[in-house]
Amino acid sequence: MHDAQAVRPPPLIEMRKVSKSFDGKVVLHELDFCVQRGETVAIIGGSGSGKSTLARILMGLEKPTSGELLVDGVCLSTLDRRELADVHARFAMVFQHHALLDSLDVFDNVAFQLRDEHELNEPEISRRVTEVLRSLEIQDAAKKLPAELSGGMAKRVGIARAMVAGPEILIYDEPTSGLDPMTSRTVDQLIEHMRDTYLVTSIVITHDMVSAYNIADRVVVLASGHIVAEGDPRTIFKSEDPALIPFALSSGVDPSHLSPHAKHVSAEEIRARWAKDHPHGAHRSHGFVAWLRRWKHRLS
Amino acid sequence: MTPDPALRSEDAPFRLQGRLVLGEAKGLLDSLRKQEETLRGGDTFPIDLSEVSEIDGASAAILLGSVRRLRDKGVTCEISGAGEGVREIVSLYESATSKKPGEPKPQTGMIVDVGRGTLALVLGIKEVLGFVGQVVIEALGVIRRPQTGNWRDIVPIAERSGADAVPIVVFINFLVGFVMGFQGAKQLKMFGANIFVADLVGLSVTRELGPLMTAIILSGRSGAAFAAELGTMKVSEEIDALRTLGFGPMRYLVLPRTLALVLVAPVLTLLADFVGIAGGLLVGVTSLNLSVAGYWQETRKVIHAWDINSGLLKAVAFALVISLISCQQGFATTGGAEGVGRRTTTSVVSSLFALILVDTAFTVFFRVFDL
Repeated sequence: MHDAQAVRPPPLIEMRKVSKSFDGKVVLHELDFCVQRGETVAIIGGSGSGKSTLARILMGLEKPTSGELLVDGVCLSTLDRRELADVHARFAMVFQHHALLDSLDVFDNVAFQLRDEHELNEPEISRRVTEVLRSLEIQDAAKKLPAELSGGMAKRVGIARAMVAGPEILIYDEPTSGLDPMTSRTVDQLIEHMRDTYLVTSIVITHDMVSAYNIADRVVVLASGHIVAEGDPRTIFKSEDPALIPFALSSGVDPSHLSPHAKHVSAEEIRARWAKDHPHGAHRSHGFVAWLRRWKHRLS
Repeated sequence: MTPDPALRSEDAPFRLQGRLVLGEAKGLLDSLRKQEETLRGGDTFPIDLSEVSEIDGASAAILLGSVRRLRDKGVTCEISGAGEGVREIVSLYESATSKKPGEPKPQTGMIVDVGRGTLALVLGIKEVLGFVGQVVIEALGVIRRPQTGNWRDIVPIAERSGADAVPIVVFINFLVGFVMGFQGAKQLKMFGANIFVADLVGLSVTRELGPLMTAIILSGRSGAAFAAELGTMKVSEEIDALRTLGFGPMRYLVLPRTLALVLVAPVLTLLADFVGIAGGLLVGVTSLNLSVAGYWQETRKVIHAWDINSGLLKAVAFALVISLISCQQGFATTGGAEGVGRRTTTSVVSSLFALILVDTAFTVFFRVFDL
């Protein structure tokens, strides 16, 4: 078991021939796609390209019509309900329209998930929430209601809520949509900050090409449910491929003016730091059956 | 301008020449019609436009209409040799005409409408039943592991749908009792049976009107609120967010609402019974020369425990119906603010409809079994 892992760790997330259709209308066509630990992957595409559906499938909000989704090499369709809940607890999502609970203030919104875990007492919850709020510089807004927040602030609260339980994988759905360019760049910095501080693997669904260029280690271009290109953002945006030029053009950025991002920490470094912090690997579902199932899967 | 069809040999292309403008359209149409009659499925029919110097919209449409009819018949039809100007016009019309085949005309008419309506009704009922099934499964899960339930929200919801509804429940039911008594008083007076107004009001309020009027108020206040609340949460992705945080929306949102309503409905109904009888009493005392003690004694004589209990039983059933229909409608909301409004309306209308149906079923059942 240890040898197998040392030779080749499975990707953190892997999609195998995942398709999704709604009422017979195919939205995703047999997607194959992997995310390694520590990576920041931007999934870009126009409206209706299926990128939000992809995020919802990753998050477990939709079930794929066909195909398999693997996390740490374990196929999710082989898991029972509780194990699946354990896997999904490793994911968190930042929603496009924040989706904060209107009746709760910022602090309670962020604390919401922690309060359900009975092993945490109130001072511990308070400490964790305050820490996350401080790292996102919104500790002063703790007592405000969601309706009183600006778009950028609400986005920060959304990120704080997603981060507070310490997920391994963070999915951002259109994090910069509806924000002015200045705030968008701040959100880019927040995404990087979260990654560098909490060592999360990030998947960013976006149509903001500048953002994708700034933060991503890898870009996946989706068009009408197919992956049309995948690779390093610099290569993608400077590509002469006729399928990709519209994306580069629509970004409004002249590819020749793009310069490599100075502060960018590589995925390898994040991965190495994560491995140092988690010498025993990821938190996994417990129990003999789960252990046996992982074994069986690895052997096959 | 158009060739004589007789001159065309089997495989030679159908050659058009010169200016194909409106004046020539009739000739073009006639000659294409002749070709269409002779061709069958499997034939090939190449059209050569290389000698056409100009084409206008009318001729292009006629040409492409003919091509479409031939292709529908199974004839292989190809247009070739068009110059740049001609090709532009032809392709412009091609995109407009090519959409038509395959798309059946939307059918209209009474029978179709009735069919559609029936289908929608059946699907709607199926959705509600599926929802009820899910709620039952979740409820069993919570019974097995009570710590997974959302007990915290029950009291605030019960307060909003119960305590806050007290004034309107009291007012409406008092008036209902009063009106019942008033209507009955005139008839009963004719027979000198004044005291029986207590029987009339007491029985109809406890068995029928108390629970029903209360449920109607609950459906308008709380049912509409549930549907609008959950609908807004659905369209603003809050329900998805709850799911990603590990909270099942059924457990977290539907069960506390249902339980709260089931708890408050019988209490409100009891209150309704009491004030309804008080309404009748007011009529008895003011216009039928009855004493308060006499009216009260007659009421106590005629109303048995079962009369009140059957009303409370109905109230519980009504609360379940209201809560499940409005939560289901809330979850089914799509499409923004307008969707929320539409679903809220549907939830109130369907709840009222279902209330009357359930009430009828109960009344018939109680009557048949003489309860």
